[in-house]
Amino acid sequence: MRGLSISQRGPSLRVQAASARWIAAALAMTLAAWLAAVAGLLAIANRVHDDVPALLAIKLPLLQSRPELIFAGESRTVYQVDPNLAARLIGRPPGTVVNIAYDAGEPLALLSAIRRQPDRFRQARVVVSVAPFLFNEGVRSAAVYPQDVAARLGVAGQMRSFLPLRVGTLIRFIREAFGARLAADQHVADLGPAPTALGLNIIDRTQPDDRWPDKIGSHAHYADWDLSGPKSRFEIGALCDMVALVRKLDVVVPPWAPRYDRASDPAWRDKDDQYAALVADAGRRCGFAVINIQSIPGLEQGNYADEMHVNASGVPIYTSYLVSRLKR
Amino acid sequence: MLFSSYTFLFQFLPATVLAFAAARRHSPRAGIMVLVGASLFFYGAWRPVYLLLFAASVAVNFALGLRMEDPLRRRGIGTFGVALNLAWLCYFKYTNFIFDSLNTLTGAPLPFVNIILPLGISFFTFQQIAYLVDVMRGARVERDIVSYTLFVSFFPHLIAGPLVHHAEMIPQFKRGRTGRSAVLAARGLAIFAAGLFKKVVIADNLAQFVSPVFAHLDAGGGVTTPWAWLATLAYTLQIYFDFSGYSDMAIGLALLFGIRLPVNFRSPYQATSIIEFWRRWHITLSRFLRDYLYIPLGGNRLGEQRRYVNLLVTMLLGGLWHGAGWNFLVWGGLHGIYLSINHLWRGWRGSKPEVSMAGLVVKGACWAITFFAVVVAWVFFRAKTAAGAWQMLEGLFGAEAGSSAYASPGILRLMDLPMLVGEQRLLLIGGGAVALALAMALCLPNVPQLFRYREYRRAPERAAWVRWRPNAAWALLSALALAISLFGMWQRLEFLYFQF
Repeated sequence: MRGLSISQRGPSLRVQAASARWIAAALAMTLAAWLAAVAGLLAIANRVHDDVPALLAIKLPLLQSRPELIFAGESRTVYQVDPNLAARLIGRPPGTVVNIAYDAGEPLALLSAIRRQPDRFRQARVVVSVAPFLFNEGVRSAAVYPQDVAARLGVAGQMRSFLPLRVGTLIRFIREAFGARLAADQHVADLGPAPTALGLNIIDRTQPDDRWPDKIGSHAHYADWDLSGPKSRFEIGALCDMVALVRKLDVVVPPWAPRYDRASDPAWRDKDDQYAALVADAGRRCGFAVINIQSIPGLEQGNYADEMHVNASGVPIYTSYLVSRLKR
Repeated sequence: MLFSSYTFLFQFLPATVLAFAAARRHSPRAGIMVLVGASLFFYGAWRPVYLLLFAASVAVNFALGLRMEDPLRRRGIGTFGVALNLAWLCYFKYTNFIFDSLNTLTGAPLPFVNIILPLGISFFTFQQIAYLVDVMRGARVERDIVSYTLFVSFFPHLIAGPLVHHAEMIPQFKRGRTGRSAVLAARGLAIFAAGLFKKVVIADNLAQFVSPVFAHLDAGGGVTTPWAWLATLAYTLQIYFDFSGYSDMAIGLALLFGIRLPVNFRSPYQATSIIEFWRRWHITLSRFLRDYLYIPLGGNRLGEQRRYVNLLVTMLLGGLWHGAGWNFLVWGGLHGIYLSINHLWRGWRGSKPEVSMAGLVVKGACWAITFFAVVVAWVFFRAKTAAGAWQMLEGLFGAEAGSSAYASPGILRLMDLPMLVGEQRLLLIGGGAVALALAMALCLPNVPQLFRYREYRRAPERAAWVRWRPNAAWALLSALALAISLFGMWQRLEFLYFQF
């Protein structure tokens, strides 16, 4: 490293060149040190990671009422299924139906929660919603990459999969791992307060016109379409493993906003059919029912807050339709 | 756009450095133009509409300066300009404070006005007031709008200082020399890394022992004595590492473009008197208050009594400069009293500085008294309500034993990664962190010393026992500081001085 040292007395050009070398070396070492630190942090995060994330843990106190019907899964259950209404529709008292779904929720996390509290699920019918990002390996964004799948990749796999452009996904994984460990150490799932409205959250505003995607085929959930990676393997495996642990398992494929027409977007239709087929095939093999909802009578564009979530006006329509499908 | 944000570090800064380097190859003037464009973009990125206000402030003051070339109109226009700037600052910063105070005093139902404080308004307004006052006093009028705009808007100092002086900035923009740009850039990078580390790793990690406690007190709660001391000492160090870290980053960034900013901190907590503290803390503000407030008020030329009045007025206004609130006024008033007592003491003991006369024990006692006084004053600076400040003082001196339920339930956040450690252990860890940070503030050379930094047309800083050199070992240290800081940046805590 002698070449890095700068003699201040040397000719100006030499000093300039040596300074430029020093800057380059410092930046290169920063990169190396950062990579080493990322690897170290990932190793720690993998150790502290808990398959039940904090977002799911805060919903698990709802299970203390020993519900008969549990809605779980990702955001389209969080914001679309009203457990109170569902209980009324099936003629059961409030509290017998709960919503434990969370944003970007994944089957692996739910499976882990079931294994931790098997008696709370054994007599319950569990309805899990799924979305393309859970199976499409091409979706690597920080916001929706399934954390439990990331934890199963190992440090080398994580760095290979997400560096350099998807570093945000690794950062989220590290943060979520510590958050999940904290929730576990604090026994949030057992001792925490139950969330309001039995787990339903409502989106009370509609996104501006310029935010609606033109086509769903080019939506981020369908980017770099690949159903053959670890996501599919682990998440489908989790759905299959759940079957033996609950009274009945239903997997729901919820619809997109009605403004999007499958017929005029063949790229979307083909990919969507592939993912629905993947889930349906697993359902046949493992013994769970699949409810593939492409549209809902009465659920119109005005009921949608964005391309995939209904607003407050759409909640009763979606809930009623879903319950009617469960009754069949 | 925070200096410690990914957008700044990985998009804005590289783009600006590359554009500047390319433009400088064409001509130094082109480089300056790039810096003006980048600085205006930097300011506009916060709220584009406020860029218009900022541009208006620059344009009006520049035009006033030009009109002051006429000696007959100089004083009148200058006075008008200063009044205009003060009115501008008053409107944005003090309207609600004045209304609120009048409400309290008279019961008049004055409304709350929804005013968004433009970023850095206190800094760029004061810099332009100094310019107008100097022109009134006979300084040369700046006729180049580009250089003037860059003097006010240069992005490293734009939002939170250092408060720069036109005479130390504008001449640098007009030099054609580029001979040592890489040498300066290497030093700038290392200084920036040190500043980023101070802010992101030290100050932001100390914040967890401060914010919940003061929030609890401001909401009317009580505090136990150990937590009161931990929170107050942690804040004492947080604000130092936060603000001096920001100033170091500003100095380092400016060096990347071959520009030298003034030093803002020289190990203030090593001071053994309040007078010395103010020569080391926020030096550019002290310089401004001295040159444009204390001395015009008469300084120490009008007798002893008037000197203390001037000191008190200067520090009260200095406190008010930090924020529109009674707490800032109390903080400034306390420091005014401290300074007066210190001057009285010196007058009584003779003019020799106490350090040279005293032994180690006396020096230690002087340091302890100074540090204690500064710490107590910070309570008023940090608390958002007078009641909160008093509650904290009661907690510090054991007058009232509160609960500790306000503290996060035993959760330590290391670079914002949460860990459950339990409350007792959290208190111990907090104490250890404060002790370590205090040791760093007291025992390590400050950044200007470490890098033998040279202000514009000044001699380099006094050499310290450890000194930066552009070699492999320091490259590695800088790299580690940068790499660790990059992880801390996900906390996204704002610089404390942004609010001023």
